[in-house]
Amino acid sequence: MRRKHLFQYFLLGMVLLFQSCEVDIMNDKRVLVTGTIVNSDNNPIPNISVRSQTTRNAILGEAISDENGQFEFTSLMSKPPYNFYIAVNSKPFGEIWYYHYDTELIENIDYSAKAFYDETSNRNATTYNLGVIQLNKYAKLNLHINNIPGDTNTLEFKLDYDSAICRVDLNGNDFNQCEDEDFEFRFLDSEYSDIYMNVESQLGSTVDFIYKLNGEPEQSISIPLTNPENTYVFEY
Amino acid sequence: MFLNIRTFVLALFISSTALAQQTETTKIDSLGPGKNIGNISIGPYFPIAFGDNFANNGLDLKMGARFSFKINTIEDLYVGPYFSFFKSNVSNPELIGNYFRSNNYVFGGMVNYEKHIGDFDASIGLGIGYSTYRNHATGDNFSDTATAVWLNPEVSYRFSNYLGVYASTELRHDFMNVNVPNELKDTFNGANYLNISFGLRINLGTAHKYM
Repeated sequence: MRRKHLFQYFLLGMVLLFQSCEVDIMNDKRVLVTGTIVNSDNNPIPNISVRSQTTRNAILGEAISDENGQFEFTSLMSKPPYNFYIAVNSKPFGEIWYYHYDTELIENIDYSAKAFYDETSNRNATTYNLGVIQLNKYAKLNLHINNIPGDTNTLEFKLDYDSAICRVDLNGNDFNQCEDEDFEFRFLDSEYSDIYMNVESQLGSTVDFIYKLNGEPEQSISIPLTNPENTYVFEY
Repeated sequence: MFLNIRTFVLALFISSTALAQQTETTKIDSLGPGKNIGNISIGPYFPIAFGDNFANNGLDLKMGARFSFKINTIEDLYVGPYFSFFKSNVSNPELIGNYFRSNNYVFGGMVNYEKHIGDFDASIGLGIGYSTYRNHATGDNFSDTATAVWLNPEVSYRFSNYLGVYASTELRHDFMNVNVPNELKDTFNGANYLNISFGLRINLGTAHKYM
């Protein structure tokens, strides 16, 4: 019995040993990260944090934008298969895929955030010049979907919008082009009555509400986000 | 701390070896003029960086230790292994990357020209070695590597046949292997040091007895 426990402790020790030996930072490598942060009127935004990090949350480099909105810092580089991220106005995150709807991650809630990512195994770049990064103001949509009592309608819908923390591919061509976001596809049968949803996006953008009522052809409504807090009620 | 203990144990071992040799050679002292075998130097190491580079602009350097073992070859020429290390804290992460501590280790070899003048020894040496910076970041470690070359004038004073003290300066350049963009080349291409060390020197051989 004691020998069995001894073996288990040994196994646990080996697991912990190899866990602690895991390395996700490249040896003999530094990169330079530069850029300028502006608002939707192209005015510089000072005091916005910019951080580079790995998938495992390790901060590789960081700086704050100056009064001209400019930043420049030296960063370590994550070793593939770990991803390399540059987060603008965002707290450190584990995987943006899981967290990009969570605006608790935004540091300065007056503005949206951007998460640049490099998921390739090619890490030959030595400079990441992000150019002019436009951060729109943060905006929220409170969406109320109301099934009028007594009706037996069904509703399928999805929401297309720019996330409050938008994802940008570092290997892409346009660093100001957020990847398309779409809210999870939902199907509401007649048992649903009231649905309340929050969509966290960017001021001046639109949320596309695309729906099929009772299996009829698809229709679309564009909801403009003109205020930091917006409300839209859809009744069927 | 662990390294300091290891250095201390190594010094004890070397001292005991030297003492053992002293006992053995007593018998042959009367047989001839004696022989210079070599010497061992061990002591604290104070790194001082200079110039426009990551070590001077981004690291807060702390004390380390230095060890060298010189063996007499022909006439006044000595060769032997060399080891040094020092610790540092990162003082400018925006410039050099977000890590918080760096320990430097150099393993190499030296060629020295050494002259004995009474109780004093003076030497000048050239060294080359492998330099590694073990860097500690959040939850992870990584390394920067370099080839180190140094020029090392040293004086020592013997207060007994086999024991003495030394003081040395070391002008060292690390040719870094770090891959960086052009904008960072001045910072990461190399590091310059003017290092100071003093400590114990163990002289091996019986030549001093007959001076």
